[in-house]
Amino acid sequence: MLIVAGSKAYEEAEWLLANGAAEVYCGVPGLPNHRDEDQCLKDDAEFVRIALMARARGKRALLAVNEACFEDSYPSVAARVKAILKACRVPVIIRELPLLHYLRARGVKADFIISSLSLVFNSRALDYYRGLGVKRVILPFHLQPSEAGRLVNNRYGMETEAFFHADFCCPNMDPACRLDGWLKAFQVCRFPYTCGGRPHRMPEADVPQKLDQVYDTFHAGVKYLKIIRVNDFRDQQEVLKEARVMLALLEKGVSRGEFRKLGEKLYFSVSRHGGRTGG
Amino acid sequence: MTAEKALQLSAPAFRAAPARARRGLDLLYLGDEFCQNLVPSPDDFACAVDAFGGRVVLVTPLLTDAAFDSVEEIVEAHASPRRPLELVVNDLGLLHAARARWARSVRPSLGRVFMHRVKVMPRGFARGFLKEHGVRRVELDDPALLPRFEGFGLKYSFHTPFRYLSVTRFCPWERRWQGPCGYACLGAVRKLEHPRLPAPLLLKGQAYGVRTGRPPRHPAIDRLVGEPLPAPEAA
Repeated sequence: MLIVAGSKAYEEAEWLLANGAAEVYCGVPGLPNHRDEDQCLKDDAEFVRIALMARARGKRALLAVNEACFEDSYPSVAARVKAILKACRVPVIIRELPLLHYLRARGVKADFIISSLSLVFNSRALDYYRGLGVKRVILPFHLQPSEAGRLVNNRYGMETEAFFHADFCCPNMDPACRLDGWLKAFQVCRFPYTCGGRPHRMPEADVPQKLDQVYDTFHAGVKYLKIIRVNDFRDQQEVLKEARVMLALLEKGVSRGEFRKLGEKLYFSVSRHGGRTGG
Repeated sequence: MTAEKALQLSAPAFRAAPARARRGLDLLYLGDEFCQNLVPSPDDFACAVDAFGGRVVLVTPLLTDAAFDSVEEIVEAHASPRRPLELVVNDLGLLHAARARWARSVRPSLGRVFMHRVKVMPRGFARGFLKEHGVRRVELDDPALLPRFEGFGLKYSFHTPFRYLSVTRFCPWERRWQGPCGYACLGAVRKLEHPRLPAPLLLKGQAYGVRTGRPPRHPAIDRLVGEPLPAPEAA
């Protein structure tokens, strides 16, 4: 599997590509993407520098346009995407159907990657995207590899990408989760609730379940493994190393049981998962 | 105009429901918009059509390929140009198939999950997208969304007393990803509380939401869909 890692800065992208990532994906301020501006690059020029640096190394950068935006912004989005593609031909990660159609109608010629946020859960959904320049589909976070066989081996030859589940888990299905918008708060899904007077958390996959997902994703034949952007780049560096070791184990052909055992040690060696604090 | 009256039940809930629960209904909504394990099998659907005797609407969530196969089997068996099948759709693949393969035999209604994707589309695109896919009805549970589709010539089915806010595929009842189901959620609701919430969150099946009151009055709401919302589990 090839690793695709999110990046927030040129220096990060350089490190990620030098340390095992085959591709980096980035958002830029003002182009709609699924992260706040503090997790975006400074500007379009920084993206172009990253794309050219990646190409010089035989690797790639991907432009994230994976969020909805107001129709008024469509012309400026199309113009900026066009300008970026003129400077460096890169694939574009897209979420919204109308924006995909708009970009194509405005002559934006790119290989499009359908975002996990587009919720493509079955191979029949690919029939819709056929003929729209789509080369890859990112599997939704909540779709299990065991359910995705026909998507992975689809008849259109579209590539597939999946999340590195051993990094994190979202309890609910983004973008079908509207809790944050309802309460105008952040990560309402992680609140410490009570249920019947007892502490309650919205359940999410535990570590063995996450490791099984990594194991099954690898064996399903998914081509790309996605590592998300996070605020603290040191965390992401650790996660990338963790992913590389896990992939090496899988390429060696370890059994599911062995992978769970070794994977759990690796998982808890990562600060983000409690390694730094021991918690 | 009197609104049609429908009851929404999952396939296992329909099997367990007494016949009197179906009295006075114009339609039965069979299935679930949030969990594919609660969608009827082809056999379930056939039994429900026989037992109910009236119109049965097939309700579907986001679908994996395996679940899609089952829905496809129901459509092939029960939909025809003479007797079109109403289908609540939350999946792009299913909506696309409804247009491409079953345009004359299926009447798609935009489901509550899909509706939130369409509501953020530019109005012109949304109108064209719905028209192109033969969507003339939208499932709603929030009156605030009515203006979003104003002027589209749509009819609305309004759901009470549960307004969905979030959905998961990591089953909160059985604490595992979806797969063979033990139906631990059947007939049960959990109430989640937190000081910052304006109202308790209810967990029903795979969906989190809130209890709502009476449906609003609106000329395009021509169908009211009720669903059982049992009292939350005691501690």
